[in-house]
Amino acid sequence: MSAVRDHSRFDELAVGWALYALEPDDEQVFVKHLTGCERCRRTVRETQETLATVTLALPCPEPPARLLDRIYEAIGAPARPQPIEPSAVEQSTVEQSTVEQPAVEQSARPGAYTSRAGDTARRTSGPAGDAARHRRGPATGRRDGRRPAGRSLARRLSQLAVAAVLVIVVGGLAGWNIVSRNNYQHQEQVAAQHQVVLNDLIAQSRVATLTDHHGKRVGDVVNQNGTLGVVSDGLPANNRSTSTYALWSVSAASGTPRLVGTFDVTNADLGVRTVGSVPSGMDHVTTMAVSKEPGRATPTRPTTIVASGAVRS
Amino acid sequence: MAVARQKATHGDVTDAHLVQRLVEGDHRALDEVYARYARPAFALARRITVDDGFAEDVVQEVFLALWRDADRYDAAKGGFASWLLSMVHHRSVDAVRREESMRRRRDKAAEESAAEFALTPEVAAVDNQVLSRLQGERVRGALQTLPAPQREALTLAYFGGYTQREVASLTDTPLGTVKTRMLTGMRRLRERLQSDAFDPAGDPS
Repeated sequence: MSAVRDHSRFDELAVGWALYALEPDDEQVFVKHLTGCERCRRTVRETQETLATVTLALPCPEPPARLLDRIYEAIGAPARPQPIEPSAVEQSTVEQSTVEQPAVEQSARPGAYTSRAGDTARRTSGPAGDAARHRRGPATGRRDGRRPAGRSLARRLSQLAVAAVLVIVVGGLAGWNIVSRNNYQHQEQVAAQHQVVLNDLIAQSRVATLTDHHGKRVGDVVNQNGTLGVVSDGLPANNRSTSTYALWSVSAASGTPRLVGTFDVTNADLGVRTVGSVPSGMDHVTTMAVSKEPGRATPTRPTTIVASGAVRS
Repeated sequence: MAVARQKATHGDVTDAHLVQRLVEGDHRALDEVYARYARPAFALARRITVDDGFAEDVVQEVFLALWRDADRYDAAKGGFASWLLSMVHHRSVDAVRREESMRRRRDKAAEESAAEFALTPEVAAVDNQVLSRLQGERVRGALQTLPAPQREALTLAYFGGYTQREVASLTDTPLGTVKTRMLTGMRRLRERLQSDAFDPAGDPS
């Protein structure tokens, strides 16, 4: 019993190790322990795999096109192979998230390596793919080993600001609410940082400020690269099994509200909800409106408008 | 136990097979690994370093290391994706920690412009395609079930590159509590992902 209890210390260290977050003294202790401990090796492996699952599920922007060129230059490859069909890339993003241990165990055996005859890699791209690459031109395809001085400035954010950005970015993307404010003595400071960063993000991407019938501000509609989101700041939480919120765009020309998408508000805290996009673009949209809808079905017209705001020109 | 064990096949070529081809020096295998994993690798590096330039450097280093030492991947120790991403994570965190010591010598003006740079909307760019996917929903749901302090401790360590002691100091929490939060949070996350894995719809609500 005390052995189990004693080991919980190593369980903690194993997770910290997998997170690459141990202090040097803890690391020393753990490395010594790890070699003889199957349980800890398993914990490390499981933690890494859980983290990989999270990483693979988060939004992944396309890296700059020059990156692959840089890599090929770095390995000194004589010539770049033809690019892979983009659809293959898309597909892999979906598939890599599937959970299937036995398949891995099977294929991971050394024996699996011997099936070299089965080199079935599809080389689907042809001249069209090459042309697309070349169109990028020399300006983007070069690696000069130096980035503009301004780039590294980002590293000079204060620690707390970096933390706030990360929490909010992750929070925003995954639909989390902006962190817990009750657990730390530094709560005001941390919350204030979050607020500042979030406000900055909102200010740069705000499309409309939403107000309710009393003229009270209840949130903002933001546009992040064509995707509209709602930053709720006072909309009451809806019951997620019996109702939903919907975001609508109204253009001066038609006057008819068009559905952007539905979203939920889980509580009154600040949080970004990604809703959707307006296929025809935002050019003619004059008003954004939020309605509360009974049921979970996609509404065709707003039932009860609870907030609205004019679109900034 | 099956949590996060990445399925090793994409179409009909397994990761293990690609690794073997890398060991043999097949450039096309590198191209394929890139097609599969450059996006998440770059996204992770960028999230940690908050800097496109550093993120590119990290991904380049990792692919170079992969090309030179693909046989260092040991399938017995876990899936290829988690191995590759943990390399990306380590190097990104190393970059952040290296820069952190430089940071103190910099002047305030630089910090301010840095803040401006870091707050461009691209930072919060949303990839709806991925978000809407099953796995995104599943992971989001699992993360949401974590108590905020656990989620924050894990986030600060993994995406922020902070050590346990730094997390303790940032959140003004005893070090022991932070360690426990990370362990408990990780266990819970894993259990949740695991239980969800059997729900074909993967829809929490």
